[in-house]
Amino acid sequence: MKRDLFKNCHPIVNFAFYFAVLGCSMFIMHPFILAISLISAIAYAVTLTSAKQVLLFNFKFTLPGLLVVLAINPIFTHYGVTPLVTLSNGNSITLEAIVYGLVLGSVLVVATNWFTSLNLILTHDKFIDIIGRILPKIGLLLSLSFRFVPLFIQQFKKTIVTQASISQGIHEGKLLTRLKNAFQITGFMFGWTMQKALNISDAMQLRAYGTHKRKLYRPNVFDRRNKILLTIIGVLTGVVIASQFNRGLYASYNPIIKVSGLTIAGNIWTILGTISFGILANLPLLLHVLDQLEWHRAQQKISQSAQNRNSFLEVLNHD
Amino acid sequence: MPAKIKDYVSNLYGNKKFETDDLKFEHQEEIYLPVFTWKMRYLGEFCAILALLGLVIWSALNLPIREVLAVSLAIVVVVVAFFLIWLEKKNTSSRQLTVIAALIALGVAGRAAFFMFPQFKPVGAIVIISGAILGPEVGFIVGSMTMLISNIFFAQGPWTPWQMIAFGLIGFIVGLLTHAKILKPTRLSLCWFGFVSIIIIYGGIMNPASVLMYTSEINWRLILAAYISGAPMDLVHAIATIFFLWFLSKPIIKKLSRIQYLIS
Repeated sequence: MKRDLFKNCHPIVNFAFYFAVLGCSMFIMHPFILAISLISAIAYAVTLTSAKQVLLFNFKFTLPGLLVVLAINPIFTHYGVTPLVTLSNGNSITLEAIVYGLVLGSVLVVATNWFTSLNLILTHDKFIDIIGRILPKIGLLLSLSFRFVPLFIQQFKKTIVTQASISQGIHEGKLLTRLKNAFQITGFMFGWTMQKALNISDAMQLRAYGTHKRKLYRPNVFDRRNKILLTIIGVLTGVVIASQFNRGLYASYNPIIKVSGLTIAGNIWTILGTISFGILANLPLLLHVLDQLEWHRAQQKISQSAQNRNSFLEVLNHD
Repeated sequence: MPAKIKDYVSNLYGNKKFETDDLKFEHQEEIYLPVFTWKMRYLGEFCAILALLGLVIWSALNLPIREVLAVSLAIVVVVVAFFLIWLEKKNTSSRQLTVIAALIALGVAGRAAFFMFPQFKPVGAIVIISGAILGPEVGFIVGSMTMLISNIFFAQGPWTPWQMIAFGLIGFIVGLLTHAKILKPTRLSLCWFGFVSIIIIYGGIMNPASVLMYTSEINWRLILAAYISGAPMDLVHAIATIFFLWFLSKPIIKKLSRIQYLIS
């Protein structure tokens, strides 16, 4: 993964951002919001991975889902006032159902593309931090299980090799024997895991588990920059929600298409909500660009000072 | 001092005749059977979950579809948070905590090991066995946390909350049934339960959830269509659960009952 400033932010900021953006995209369903969300989700996913990867992923997984959603909605739902084709059983395929299907399909595409970047940003340490902040014992539980998974896989590989050496391997012989050996190894592994769990609990007991109030080790500091970012996210989300309440971002497709700003008159809140959602959705990208600019500026400064030093040395040598 | 040793000492120092037969301790492997204790708390939790399910159905009948989605997501969060807070507030020993963590890790590693076969996963089997022996609440936590953590390892998506609640409920209900002594934790009955629960609970949550997320209206025909289109995958999943339960339930239940004795 490439260097990214948003990944280095505090977990609370990351979670708040994804909560706000995914919530707005899933529940407001206004075309402006969806278009902005789609563009910024793809742009951010491209900056984190590569254009080729994002395109390939969308063609492989998102496009089939989109086609299914587009097909299912007009076939199964028959509300609306503008029938396009009347079927033999009296139902009709309506414009409204097709439009709503298109909107729902774009919600699917938007969510999938946000989840592409979410999977890279929200790593397991952030989950432990955010859950352990509220429920310390659950944070401990999560970190214990995160540790157990690689331990288990290591021991599993060792056990497979050991069993193979006494000709009870899982890679040779008849299928039934191999299967039997595999389940035998799984049984051993279950015992081993439970033994390991009891060992760890004894170690915890010796280190005075449960005698004090439990706190979680937190490497992340919630400093001023994170406070500013969280405030920005909160204010922008507040504006979007306010414009939704003032019917600035009103969108309804059943039974008549009513979209404020397109088919019915919008108000000042339409513009305000759209702009603030645009800033909100592009916040990580903005941080990324600012970070890169700062990086280039610093590099230029270094090379400039090196040049100055060289010319100074040249002058000295000349004299 | 045990009576046997007392006799032995008195035999040794007294004038009585020395009897060697008393000293023979027959070595026996101790067999721990799983212990099921019913608590009224389980019934309360079950009734609360039923009431929340009723709320979802009521909202599906009366509200527009996006609000139904919001209501059901909120309910998923509430139910998961309830069980996590229960574990947080409960005075657990460190053994209970590490054993739960190990069971979660087993589920995650099992899901990772079979990543090449879609839906052919041992997660259901591990959740069902741990819920059956260690109780409904532990079953819920193992199920939901397994799905959360394995999705952190693979990929998060809109499906994460639904998977969490589905496996959590499977673990909860099997624990409820075994602790109410309705279901005996034998191999055959667990296999039956595994098949039925994957089809009814897992399929019954995941298929309507996809209807909720991707269609513009909710009606019986849509849910039926989703169920039929998802049926092959559900069937593979259910058969996989039976397969793993058939081979794993005996050794794991034997070990887990010993663990239950150790951690209680």
